[in-house]
Amino acid sequence: MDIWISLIRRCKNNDKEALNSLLSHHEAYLYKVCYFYSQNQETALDIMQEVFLKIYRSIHTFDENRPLLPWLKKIAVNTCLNFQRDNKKYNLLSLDLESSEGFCLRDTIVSQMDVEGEVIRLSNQELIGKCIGALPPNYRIALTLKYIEDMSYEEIAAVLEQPLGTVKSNIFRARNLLKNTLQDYNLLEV
Amino acid sequence: MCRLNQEMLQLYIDSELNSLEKLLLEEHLKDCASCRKELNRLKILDWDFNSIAEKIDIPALSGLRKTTLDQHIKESQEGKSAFGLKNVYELQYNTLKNSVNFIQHIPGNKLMVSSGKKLRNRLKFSFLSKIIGL
Repeated sequence: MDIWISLIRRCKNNDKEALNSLLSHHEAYLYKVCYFYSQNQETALDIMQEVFLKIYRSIHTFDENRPLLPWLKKIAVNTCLNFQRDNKKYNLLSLDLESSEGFCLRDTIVSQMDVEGEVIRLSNQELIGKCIGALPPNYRIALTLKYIEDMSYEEIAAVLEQPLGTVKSNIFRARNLLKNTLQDYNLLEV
Repeated sequence: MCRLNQEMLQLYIDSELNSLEKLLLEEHLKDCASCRKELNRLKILDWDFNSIAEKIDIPALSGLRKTTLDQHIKESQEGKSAFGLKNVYELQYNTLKNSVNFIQHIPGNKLMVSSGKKLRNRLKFSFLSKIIGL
């Protein structure tokens, strides 16, 4: 029998050792998703805690005939999105204002962090990381799947259960926001 | 700056353009300095994103894994040992049912059952009689 299937069957019986070894194989990868999404180690660890618990609690519903990794990925993605919803301290933005959206969002990035001060203090990538952290959740999760998973637009749309057009425009807007913010400080010039 | 091409440029670096669109954009890039510059910026940003993704430091997660696992095992055991009213009811029901099971095997059972049914038709029989099959 496939070693993974037997491990998953043991997990379904709440076998502590099996659960431990199953997650030790995948946790680094799941952490990357959480970290890229939150751009903050503390938040990423909080999300990971929920991801672990969700996996333990729902492993018995997993269909052994299907691949494990996409299932784990989906749990991580949903936990990231829900985590944001549960945490009121994060600034949720209304996306209804279609015409002035770019302007509003850009303002939020700038207001949430002192870009000018950070430019001096941080390296280019640390600064981009901070900017990613200030983006709305929808944009961030699309970028996470793009860069951590190396997924195509179509695959991202399937995981997030969103129309392809939404994914396209989310990635486009996320990039545009970051590009414009960084461009103001001449950080994208060669 | 060509507005239409902004989106095309992003799709281009993500390799999401079909071959015709790609050809058209590449032709356009030959002549348009501002789009070339924009493409460069996007490539730098893309490169930055990729290197951020590659450079993520992974902290020791074994501690977190173990504490959450302990928490889960504890929760699931508590769930199992919880003995509610429903369990008590079921247990009592089964005990009673088994304790009167012998009635099925004593002589004259059929007669008892048929007279019991007649009685039941006349009277409203108790729940107990249902269990013992009379």
